[in-house]
Amino acid sequence: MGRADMVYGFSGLHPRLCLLYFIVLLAACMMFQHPVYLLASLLCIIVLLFSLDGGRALKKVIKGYLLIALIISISNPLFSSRGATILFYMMDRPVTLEAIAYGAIFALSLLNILLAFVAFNLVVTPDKLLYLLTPYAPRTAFVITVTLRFVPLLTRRLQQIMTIQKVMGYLQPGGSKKHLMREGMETMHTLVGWSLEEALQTAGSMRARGYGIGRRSSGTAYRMDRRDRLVLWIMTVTGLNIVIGALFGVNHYEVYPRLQGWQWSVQLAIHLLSYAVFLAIPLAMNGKEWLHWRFIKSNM
Amino acid sequence: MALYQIEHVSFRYPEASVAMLADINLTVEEGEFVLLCGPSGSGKTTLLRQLKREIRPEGQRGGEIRYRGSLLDDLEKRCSIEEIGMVFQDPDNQIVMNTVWQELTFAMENLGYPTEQIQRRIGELVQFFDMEDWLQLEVHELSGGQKQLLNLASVMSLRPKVLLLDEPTAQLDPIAAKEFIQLLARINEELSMTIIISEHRVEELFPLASRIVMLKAGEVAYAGEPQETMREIWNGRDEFFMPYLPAVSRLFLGAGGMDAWSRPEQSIPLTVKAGRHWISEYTKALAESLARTPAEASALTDGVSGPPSKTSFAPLNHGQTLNEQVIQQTAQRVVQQAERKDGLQSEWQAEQQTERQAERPGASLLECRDLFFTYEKHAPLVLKGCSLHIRQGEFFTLFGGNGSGKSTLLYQIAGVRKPQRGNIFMEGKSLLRSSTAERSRWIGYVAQNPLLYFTRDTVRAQFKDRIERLELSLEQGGRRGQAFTVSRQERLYELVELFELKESLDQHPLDLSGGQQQKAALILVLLAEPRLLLLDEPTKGLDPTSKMKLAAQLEAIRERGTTILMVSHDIEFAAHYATRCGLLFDGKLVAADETRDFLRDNYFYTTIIHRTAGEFFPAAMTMKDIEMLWEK
Repeated sequence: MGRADMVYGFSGLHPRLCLLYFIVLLAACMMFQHPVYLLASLLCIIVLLFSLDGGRALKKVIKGYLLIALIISISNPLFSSRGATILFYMMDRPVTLEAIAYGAIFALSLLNILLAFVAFNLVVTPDKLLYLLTPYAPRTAFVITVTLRFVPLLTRRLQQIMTIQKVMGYLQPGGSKKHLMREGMETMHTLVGWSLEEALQTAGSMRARGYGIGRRSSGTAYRMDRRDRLVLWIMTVTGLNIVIGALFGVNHYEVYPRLQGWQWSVQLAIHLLSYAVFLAIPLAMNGKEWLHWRFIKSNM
Repeated sequence: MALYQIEHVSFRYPEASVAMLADINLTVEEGEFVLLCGPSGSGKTTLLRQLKREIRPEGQRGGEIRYRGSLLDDLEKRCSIEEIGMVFQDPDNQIVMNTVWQELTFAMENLGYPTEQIQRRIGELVQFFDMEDWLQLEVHELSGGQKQLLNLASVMSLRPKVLLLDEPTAQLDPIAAKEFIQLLARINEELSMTIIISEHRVEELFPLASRIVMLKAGEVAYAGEPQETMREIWNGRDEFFMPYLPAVSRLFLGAGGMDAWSRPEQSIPLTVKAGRHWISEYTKALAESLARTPAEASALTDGVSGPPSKTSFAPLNHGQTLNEQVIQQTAQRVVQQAERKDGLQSEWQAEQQTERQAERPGASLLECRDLFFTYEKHAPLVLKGCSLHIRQGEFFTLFGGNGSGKSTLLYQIAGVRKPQRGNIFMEGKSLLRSSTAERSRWIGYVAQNPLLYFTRDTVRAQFKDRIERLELSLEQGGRRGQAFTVSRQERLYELVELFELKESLDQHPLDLSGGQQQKAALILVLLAEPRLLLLDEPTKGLDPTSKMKLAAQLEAIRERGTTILMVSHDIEFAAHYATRCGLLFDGKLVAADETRDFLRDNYFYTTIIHRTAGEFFPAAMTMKDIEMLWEK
């Protein structure tokens, strides 16, 4: 489980607020096509990822995600000829400015969504997710927990069985495919038999401790404290602004048939400001934490 | 009111011809610490499971079990779950959730406790069990001992009135087991919680128990206070249950036959400390009584004027008053005299010498030379220049703490992992350069968990499959027609006879008992007729009776020319049966010697008998040695 380095800043917020934040962020990344909004989101998510774990998670995925984004932004103008501004012809097909812009916007939007999910996993850890899920789907939440435990367990068992097969001389390097398949089936057979046997005992242990006699409660408690309530207010005010503005099309951006120019209005400025404030919530919280520790260090 | 009243309880599993429990009568009072002993299959687990409704097995039940006066069947569901806690044997498979925290709250969440109450109880539990450091970890990151503590803590979260434990430390190493048992003692002492535990670790548990229940074939053979029970078993000369008594007590009782020390008011020592105290008193009294008859005493001094034996008592003489010294020395002389008179010492020496002579000529079989190994690139080294030498026909036991690299070394020899540096030679031939097939013919490896070996639906089919595979691999190796391939069926027959598995041949491997599964795995490995047999903790969780049987079986295998290398924590077992022992520490073999010399030079890593009586009988390692003394 990737434990975020900072558990006091944004990650220390009530899980419901974290979830709310990411819902709004992901929705914005999906809906908004305005390039300024997209770039702001991208910037915010990247800074957030760095503030969460020093960019380790980002480094792991960024190459693949960039490749996906690149492919999308290139392929859109190749396959779509919509748009009025024809730049040049390629193999007798018009390549338009609008198609290129749309490809870039679409790629950026997808990149945002993917990276936002990385941040989401760092902030809303599995146990928080389960806490959120339990009131609505207690059984599903339970099944997920048990599964989380069984994945490493089964992996380890599989390794043990294969070790034995190797020692017994069954698994030889350079054996034929058919031979390997056969041995693989044997491995599975042993694994399933063994695991079922153990599962019976697990069931006994569950019954002994009262599983299934009534409605389960939750031992994990998150209380809404003053800070949580303050953040909730900010999120509500800015969030409502964003939603209402978006419904009225304040930040609407036209690509087709003709690329829209820069059109500034007071409403757009207010809307953008709200969005910026909303995006900055985790950055401000983590930043404050960072400054706090810097400050303590320099005072020591 | 008694906590449990068990009256005429019997139980039979469906489709079983014999009853698992027959007419059990027991009363357990509140606050008692009851120890259930007996061989595996004697019904300990079945009896424990009868005591909690949720985990009672299906079958035919007879008799009545009353919990606090009311029938167990009439007990309210919630009450039964909360007040009766159960901890099972395997640390891993009773854990349900993914993290330590979730597992701790599991039981309370099931019963729908409010969040505040859960938090509060966890706060308490974590303190009591000292779990702060690993509370946030995931279950798979824990050690076996920690897992078992977690299981206990999770059960304790419901604040039970009685704890049932089914061999909770069988899968743990000695250190973790002791920690666990100490915690049980605390729970019993500080919370006055009733504890009913079935366990083979009598040395640690007898001093804690207020009542011993010995089961045999589903019936109560003995039940009573430890002191009474021990005398009863000893006076009745019950050979079967004698191994189930602590070694120190056996030492005492063995001596008891010949003098006034067997008075009933004299309590039987259970621990090394008490045993040592008794022995020093005993020898002192013996010396004094001898001093009163000067003629005998002078005869004694004449007797010991010979050259001092190699194992002198020098360390004892530091910081003692002259008087004590005189007494001690007289006592020692008495003992030495007794030994010499009966030629015991010389007998031992002669025996050892013949043993040595028998083994010395044994050619070198396996040699590990300066092995270096680490599991990951930047992880610390597990083996750091480890060298090991095994001779033909030996029974070598390798000791070492957790993480000392014992199992890793076995893996290296078995060929699962290759060392980063160093080489392994089998009769002068490098194992690293030989093929997997060759290696698997030379070396047999029996893992701790026998379930890893089973792929078929019956034991018989499993054996048949093994023989087919072995013959196939020989064909591929172009070595068909070798002498032993013909007799493989016979060999199987022999092994099945030796390990007493004949009745279980048509059962599913998973339906066998743990001990039988281990034997089946042993047979599977031995069918290849390996030159070297590697055993990873074969005595883990075995009862004393099975251990003795296993020892005899291993001896039979050794006589057929298979050398044995065993990794173990079981010092008592090794002291009885191993020919050589070694200690692995810090990735190196730091000591390797003949078993007797190895144990004599050790301070912690030695038998209970030696720790108790070592000052007085330096050569005595096992009960057998002492018994020889008493008898003379």
